[in-house]
Amino acid sequence: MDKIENFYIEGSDYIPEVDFNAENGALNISGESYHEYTLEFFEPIFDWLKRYTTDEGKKIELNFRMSYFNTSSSRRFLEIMNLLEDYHYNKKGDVSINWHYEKNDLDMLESGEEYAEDVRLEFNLLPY
Amino acid sequence: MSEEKLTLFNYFNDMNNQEIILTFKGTISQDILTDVGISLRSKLDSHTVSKKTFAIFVELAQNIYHHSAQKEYSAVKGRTAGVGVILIQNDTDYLTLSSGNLIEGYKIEGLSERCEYINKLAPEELRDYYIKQRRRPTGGVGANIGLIDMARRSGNPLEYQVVKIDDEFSFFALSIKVSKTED
Repeated sequence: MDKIENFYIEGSDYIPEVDFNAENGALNISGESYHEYTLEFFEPIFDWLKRYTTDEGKKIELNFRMSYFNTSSSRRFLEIMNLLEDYHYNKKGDVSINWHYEKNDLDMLESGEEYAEDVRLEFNLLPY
Repeated sequence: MSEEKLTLFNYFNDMNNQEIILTFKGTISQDILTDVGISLRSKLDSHTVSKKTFAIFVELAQNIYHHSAQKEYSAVKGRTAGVGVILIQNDTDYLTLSSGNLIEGYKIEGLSERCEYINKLAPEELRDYYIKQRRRPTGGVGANIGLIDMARRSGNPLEYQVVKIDDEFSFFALSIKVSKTED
């Protein structure tokens, strides 16, 4: 199977920075996310993740460090987590999620708690 | 002074009297949303309140963008987008965000029922409803959780109003208050 390249999207006011490292399995998503065409924006991200999770047994650490995201992005994030959850249980993956939130941002903490409740993976809530 | 200028002056005065700090009609582009976010931060003292207000503004704007029955072609984007109106009123104790757009008549009942249902739920129930709805596949552009999200962030009911235009279309207005005192 071909070697998978790293994946990078530069963030802007309304799209998050996406920095996926194929070598060490650190997948980072950070910033703000409220693109009006969320589905289209996330499509290449899902394409990459599907290719990356073709081979079994990888260690993956998914890091979120968001300051704001809209409801449409909220659903896409859940879909990413579900994809990795599936990988963890069905393809011998070792997946954990770190949810970084600004320590005074209670809404962001709550968002993390809601994902933690919804996804069966190691899930760490980390203030900064 | 021409009739036209006089009208605009009245319009401006009305907006001042009603404490309207922002109003927009048309298709709301991504860049406008970002500018609104910056403008809200400068106009509101509390970071928490401006974040809440911005989040609700985004959901309202994107609802219009994707679901308004009135569409406009954007040459820049090369595709059509929904048209509507949004305004923010800044009162002493709270901000009121209102949006309005055309909607197909057959959608009114479902949408009104959704608002009513959301308004009946306590905060914990809203949280569970949000999580449950987010899991459901939609196939659409949105997440179907915008209304729940707005109700949760504001902590106040979704107030809506329907004005029937003809057999095919109605005007749907939605308004939400955000308290300016932090919890």
